Amino acid sequence: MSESFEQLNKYQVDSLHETSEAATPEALDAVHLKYLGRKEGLLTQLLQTLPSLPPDQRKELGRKANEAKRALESALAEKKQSLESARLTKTLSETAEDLTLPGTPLVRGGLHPLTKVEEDIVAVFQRLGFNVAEGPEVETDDNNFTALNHPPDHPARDSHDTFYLKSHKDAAGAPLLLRTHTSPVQIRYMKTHKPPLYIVAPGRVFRHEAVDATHSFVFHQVEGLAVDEGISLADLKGALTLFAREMFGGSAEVRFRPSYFPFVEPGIEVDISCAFCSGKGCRVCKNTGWVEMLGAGLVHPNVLRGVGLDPGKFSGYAFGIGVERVAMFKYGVDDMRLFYENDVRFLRQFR
Amino acid sequence: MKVSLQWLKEFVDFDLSAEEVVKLLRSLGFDTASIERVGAGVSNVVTAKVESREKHPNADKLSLCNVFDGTTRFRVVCGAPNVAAGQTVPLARVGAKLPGGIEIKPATIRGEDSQGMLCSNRELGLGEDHDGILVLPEGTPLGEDINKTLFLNDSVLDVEVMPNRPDLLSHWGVAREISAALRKPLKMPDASIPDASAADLVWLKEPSLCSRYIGRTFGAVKVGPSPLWMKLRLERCGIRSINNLVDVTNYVMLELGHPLHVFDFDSLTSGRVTVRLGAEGEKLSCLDGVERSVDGRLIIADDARPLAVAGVIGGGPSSVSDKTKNVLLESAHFQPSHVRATRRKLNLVTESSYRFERGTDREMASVASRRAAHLILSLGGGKMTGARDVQGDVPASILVRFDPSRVESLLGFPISANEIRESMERLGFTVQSDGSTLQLTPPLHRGDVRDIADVAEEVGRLAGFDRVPVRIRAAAQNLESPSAERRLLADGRDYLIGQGFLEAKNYGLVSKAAWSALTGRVSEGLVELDNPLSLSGELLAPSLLPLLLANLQLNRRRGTTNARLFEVARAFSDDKGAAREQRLLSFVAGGNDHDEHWKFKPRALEFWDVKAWVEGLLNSWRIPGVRFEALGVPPFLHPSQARVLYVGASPMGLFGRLHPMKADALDLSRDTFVAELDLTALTAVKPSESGHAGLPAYPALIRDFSLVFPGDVSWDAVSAFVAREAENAETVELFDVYKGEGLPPEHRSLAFRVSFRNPRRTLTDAEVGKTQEKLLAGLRDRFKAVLRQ
Repeated sequence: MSESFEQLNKYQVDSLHETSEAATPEALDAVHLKYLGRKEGLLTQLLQTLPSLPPDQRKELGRKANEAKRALESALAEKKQSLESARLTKTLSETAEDLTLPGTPLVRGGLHPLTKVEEDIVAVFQRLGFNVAEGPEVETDDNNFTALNHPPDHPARDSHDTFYLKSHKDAAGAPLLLRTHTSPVQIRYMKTHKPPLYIVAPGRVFRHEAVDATHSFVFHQVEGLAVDEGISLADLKGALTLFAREMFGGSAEVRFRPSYFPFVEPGIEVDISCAFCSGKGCRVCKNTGWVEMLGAGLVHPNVLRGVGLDPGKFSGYAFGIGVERVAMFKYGVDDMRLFYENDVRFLRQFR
Repeated sequence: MKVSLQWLKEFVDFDLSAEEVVKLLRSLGFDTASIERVGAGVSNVVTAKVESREKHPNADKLSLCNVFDGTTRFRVVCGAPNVAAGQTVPLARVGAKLPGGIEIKPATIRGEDSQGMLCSNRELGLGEDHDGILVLPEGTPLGEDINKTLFLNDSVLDVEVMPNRPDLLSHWGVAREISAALRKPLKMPDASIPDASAADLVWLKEPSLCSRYIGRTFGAVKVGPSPLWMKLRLERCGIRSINNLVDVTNYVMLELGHPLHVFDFDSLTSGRVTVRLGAEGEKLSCLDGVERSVDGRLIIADDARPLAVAGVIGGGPSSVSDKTKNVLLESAHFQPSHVRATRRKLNLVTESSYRFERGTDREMASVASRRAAHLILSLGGGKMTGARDVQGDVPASILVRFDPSRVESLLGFPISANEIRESMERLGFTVQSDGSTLQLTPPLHRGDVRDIADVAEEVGRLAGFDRVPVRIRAAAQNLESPSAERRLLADGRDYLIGQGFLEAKNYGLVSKAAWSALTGRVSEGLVELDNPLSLSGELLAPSLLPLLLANLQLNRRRGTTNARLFEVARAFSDDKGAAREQRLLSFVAGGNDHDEHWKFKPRALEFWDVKAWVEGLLNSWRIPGVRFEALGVPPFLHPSQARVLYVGASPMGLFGRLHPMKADALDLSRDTFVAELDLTALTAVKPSESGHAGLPAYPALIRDFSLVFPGDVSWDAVSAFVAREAENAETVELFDVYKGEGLPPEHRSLAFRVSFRNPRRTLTDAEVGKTQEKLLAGLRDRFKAVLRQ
């Protein structure tokens, strides 16, 4: 009987030792077969002798043999996992590739720089609580001019060279036109909404003039309009200062100069401190430290009266931001035609 | 308006450089387009007489001149071919400085000493004329500093005058602004003349179109060249010198801003002029040699015929010539909108019409008339023989009453009633105080000021808008959500960008030729421009595709063969005489799915790509129930690889492969695909509800089907049938399409996988088996489908 116990001890010590010595999964399998093989396994065979032993020994040896078997099984499993992960690690490092090679060709497209700038501008004013309004590109003479205090036969109309439609006319029989600015949206909105009014109106406009590096017969504007009680030039300066800082950096300053646009009074030309030299003077700002950026002013009393608002009660400001102008300044584009050529090598630079 | 700085200084005494004046004007609201410098940096150049000229002994093209500056005689070598004895010329003496840093030193030229240089225009900084030395008029005093003789060291500013400020179209007007800004007095030019009258000189028949007409007659005039100073000033401001009388009218116009006209008085059939409307058929041969109809336009006439178009242009026959003895000087005030209408009808802009249509000053008409008369008399041009000042309808004077605190609330910075009053007075307004309100009478040259807003501008201008503080006023009320159309366009852009599309922007106009070449349609349904800039932009684009295809072409010619572009823009069509404006989202893609790659080889784009993009867009918008049909596919698309989108009976767009013949004609890849979706129309389609149905609680049973169908059975029909007829069918996915060997001709096999699921219980094999049997029978009955062997 002690022989069997000795045998068991030896198997236990040997099998655990052989397990820890096994260097490959195959060697592990051999250990498994040697001790736990279904027929030939040493432990298996030992266990098969149990029924022939006296009952007192049978119980004790049976318990110990099963313990030895479980210990070996768990040692084998543990060792197997560690061998496999070592092998995987080795394989992984052996199959390393040149990871600087280009990835799968899934190329993102992108917005047009003018759209990006337009959306940025609109977002600034939306944060101030402005609504977005839009109007048609084909407009009536009345909305584009007369209601904006450009009476018929007024020389101010000369500055807006206009495209007219050949056979399409408004209700009064006047030829329809392509809007020369986004300002008619002011009229449309004021006619259909009551103050307080705060809107921005982005859109495409048309001027009948030849195309060169700084002129285009098509360009984009973002119109702004605020009509409320007690609106002053200070509110305009506030809104535009916010715009300038969001677009050109937190230290941008705004300067007002008197100017003339028929639908505002006072009319204001708005300069923004040069973002390239921080106002010190450079080539971009022609050494003035300021860049002319947009036109603005307080809504002309005639415009308010024309849409049925009392200029004694309400006042308002309006501005028109040239999207191309901002984009050229922001991105350093010096030829407007690039925006309309749609060469993908240009467009890709704004993704 | 070209403004000479020296001339300005005759009216207001200030000591500012050209740059400082530009800055000052800018702060007052007037931009300057350019500064032109005239003869800067000239010293020790004087007028001198060439007493004799002889040929240089050692050089054919040079001459030796003896020159006298009134005190000293100099010997000067001169290379100019036009030099001659008796001329008065500019002499740069030894030590003289000329523009460009040139200094004159004693020299020996080909063995002859030269004590100075005779100067050309260019050498004095007076332009590029280098043909010879500048010959000064006879009678020019000798030894005079040439700076004085030629008004050198001047700067000419090109001031941009806005239509609301015609009073700045003169030196006097610009000087008036400077005087107000600098608080310096204005000096009026000499306009003193003797009294004269002539009772019947002017007959004003249209008092509403002419509020004033002043005629003056002069006899025994001597028509000839103007004095040098007048010529120089006119030329510097861009006006050619003609003769002393015409030059006086132009000079006074540049000086005081009021256009004048002179008639040859002897050419009139009568001793008077009539201001009347042109009759039907009446014509005038104008100063520029063109005959124009004056029907219905205000004219100046004698008793027989028109003499001039009021405020626009004079007539040829009554113009002043060398033989003129007696003249009539006109100074009038014409109604602006009538002058504008006239010049538009005549299609003619003149210095005169430009000023009259913007508005002139009735009082200035009289001052200008007297100033011109003074100049005519002092230039020895004759004597005044008569004068007549006739008034037409005088508009009521304007009175602006306002509460000064309201000016403050518009400007947004504190400003006292006193400062407002003082500012307006500086600008020539008469101000009266009436308790808490102020009452302004604008001067006649400020017809633009009629409202408190105008007053706020004037006060703000003088105070400086730098005083306006920054105040942030948030609206934060009446907030509206973005319009459905803007939501669609934002989502559509996002989707396409994710698919590798770059956004394009086009001018939105197309030529008729390009449109008909693409579509075969000529004119129906189009919106045409009346005044296109060129033939390439005659039509408002009815579709964005011709523009985007042109973009693809440009990129291809420049070497980019694989490109994807989209655009969102308005397109226009004629809708029973109305111009219909729709916002379209269009895209084009050509070439391969991507550029060359080391691992993934590019493949040509296919119809399935464009279909996927269109479906992707519709999904991103959650627009259900869009059908793709062959009905209405335009001929520029591939006849069997294109579809039109329909919701109900309304087309919503189209997509497909560009017709290979069009691709060839446009020099594009044959693998060019296009799509155009009508965002405006799609906005009207109600999107499906967003939400979710949770995760399935019971398992699905999967069954694969492989059936042979007749070739004309569409997958759409099969999948719709399965989805409709097979009980508990959750999804139907096509995984194989086969045509060819082993199948009857004109047949194809479709293999698809159906997932069956009941949301409330576990399905059994048996019941799905039954459904499967029923479905197979149904497909056989409906489509003659048989199981593939």
